[in-house]
Amino acid sequence: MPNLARLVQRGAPRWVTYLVVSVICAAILIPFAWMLSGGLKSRAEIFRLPLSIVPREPNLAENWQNLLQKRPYFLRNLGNSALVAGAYTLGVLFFCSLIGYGFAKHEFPGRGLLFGVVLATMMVPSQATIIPLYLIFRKIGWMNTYWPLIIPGLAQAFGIFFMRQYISTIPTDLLDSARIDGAGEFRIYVRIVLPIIKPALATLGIITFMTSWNSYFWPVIVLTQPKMQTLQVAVTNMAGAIRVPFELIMLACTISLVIPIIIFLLFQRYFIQGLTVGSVKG
Amino acid sequence: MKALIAAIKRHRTGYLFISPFFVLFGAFMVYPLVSSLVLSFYSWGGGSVRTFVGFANYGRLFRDAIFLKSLANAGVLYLLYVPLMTFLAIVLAVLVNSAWLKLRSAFRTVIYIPNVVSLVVLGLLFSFVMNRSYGVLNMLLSYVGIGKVSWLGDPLAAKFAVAIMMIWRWLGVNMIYMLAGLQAIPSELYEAASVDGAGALGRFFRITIPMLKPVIVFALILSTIGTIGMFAEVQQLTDGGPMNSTVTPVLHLYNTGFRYFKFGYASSMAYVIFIIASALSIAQLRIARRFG
Repeated sequence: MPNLARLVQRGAPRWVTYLVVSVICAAILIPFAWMLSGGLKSRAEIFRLPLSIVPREPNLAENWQNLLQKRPYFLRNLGNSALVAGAYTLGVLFFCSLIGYGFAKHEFPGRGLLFGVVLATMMVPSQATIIPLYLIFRKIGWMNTYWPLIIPGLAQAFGIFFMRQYISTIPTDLLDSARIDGAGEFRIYVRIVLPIIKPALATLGIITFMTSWNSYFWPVIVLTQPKMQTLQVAVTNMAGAIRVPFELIMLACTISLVIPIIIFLLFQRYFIQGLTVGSVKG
Repeated sequence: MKALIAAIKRHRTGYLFISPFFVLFGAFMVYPLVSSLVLSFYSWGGGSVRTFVGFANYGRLFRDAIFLKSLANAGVLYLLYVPLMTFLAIVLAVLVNSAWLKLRSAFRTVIYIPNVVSLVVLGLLFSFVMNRSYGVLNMLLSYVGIGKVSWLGDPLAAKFAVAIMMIWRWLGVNMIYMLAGLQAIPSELYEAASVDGAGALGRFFRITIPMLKPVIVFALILSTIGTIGMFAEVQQLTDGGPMNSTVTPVLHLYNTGFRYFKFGYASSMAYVIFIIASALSIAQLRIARRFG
């Protein structure tokens, strides 16, 4: 019998590590495989026993036709998501870098206190303000428009914090020499600050785009017309049907995941960077 | 007064740069928070009649069986998934941090990738994965001789279903936090421990876990806020059922406000949830400080 105490003393052998990590990875990948195969199967095959992860008769073309028939605005929904997420991201990048620059490189009374206010807003969860926000946008007639999804979060605290941290590392001499040359403050922001902070803009932009693309709580409240809905809301409406069309829902889910997964795989480095900004204090 | 105006004028570029935040903050944060507080003292269904009811909405919350159940559910769910997930995240971080591990970045990518799945798709996907007769989970369990579990139809199993879904979605991001924390542990500590004859497990419990403590506290606070805020994924997976066994505070808030249009009552609920979430976060910070 192997000496267990000695095994523990030395650390688990390498194959145990490989085994544990591989099992976990398999557990993570199986639901993805199930979603993909669900979207490819015909309805009959979904309910045919014994079950199989690999579809026997892929039925993609017909599922796609059925999806468009059941959700005539599906492509529009896809476009809505892209448009809203794109516009929101550009707005966030502009406002957060502008405000972050103000906090990082300008001296004014109350700066610390005001920055504290910015950080404090991170503690307020969205559900605390959602009812009055809904009432505001209903009152001004902006229900079923893109505006409620874009405007309220433009100056979000995380983005400002992140930008301020990054802009603080720019040497002040660089900005001062531009001032001596007579450049205006806004011009300095556009011509000097923005080009230097490109990597930070990329990180914040990717995170913001994904957050917007995936958001649901607020969109489901302000978007009630199928034509104006974003993908996330449109997908749930389909699930509300009495007879659950699993294959169509899984196809729609798969399509909605294509863009986030591509963005993630391409820009993984930026993601992880953005993620760990808050967890380990610099 | 004159001095103040002069000071503002002198520093106007700074104020100008940060002003967009305060405009949006006033309109979309301060005003709604105040308005929500005012609303919480009224009974209002969205029509023209609004009745002042004082603290009645708050009193009603303590007699609202579904609301109380939702708080209890959040507590049980937290205990079901957060300790296990956090521990797994630490172990995985240590494992994928091994320099000799082949394919380490591929493993990390796979473990992290559920985090890009939207909460809506998460709930829909797991309702299909956990379908009693046609889901892949029961199919796999049947290979090891476990009979069909009614994941979404049984009150207890449904809680486990939500817990499994949450671990799947959040394990990777927690692992990334832990990995970042591991980078900050000086390797001399491990070397000294090895010289003193500490084994792998000894090093894990005596060095890794204590040194990771700030990161663990950070991750636990995020999990607390996340558990209380659970909404889309549960709505799509179980819609709070069966028999309210998985209803969460925010799901109940959504139903009260936007299914039954009780805006006054829902506002009081929003405040109480907000206060509970803040109190729990602060409590965790305090506890962590006391034991550090």
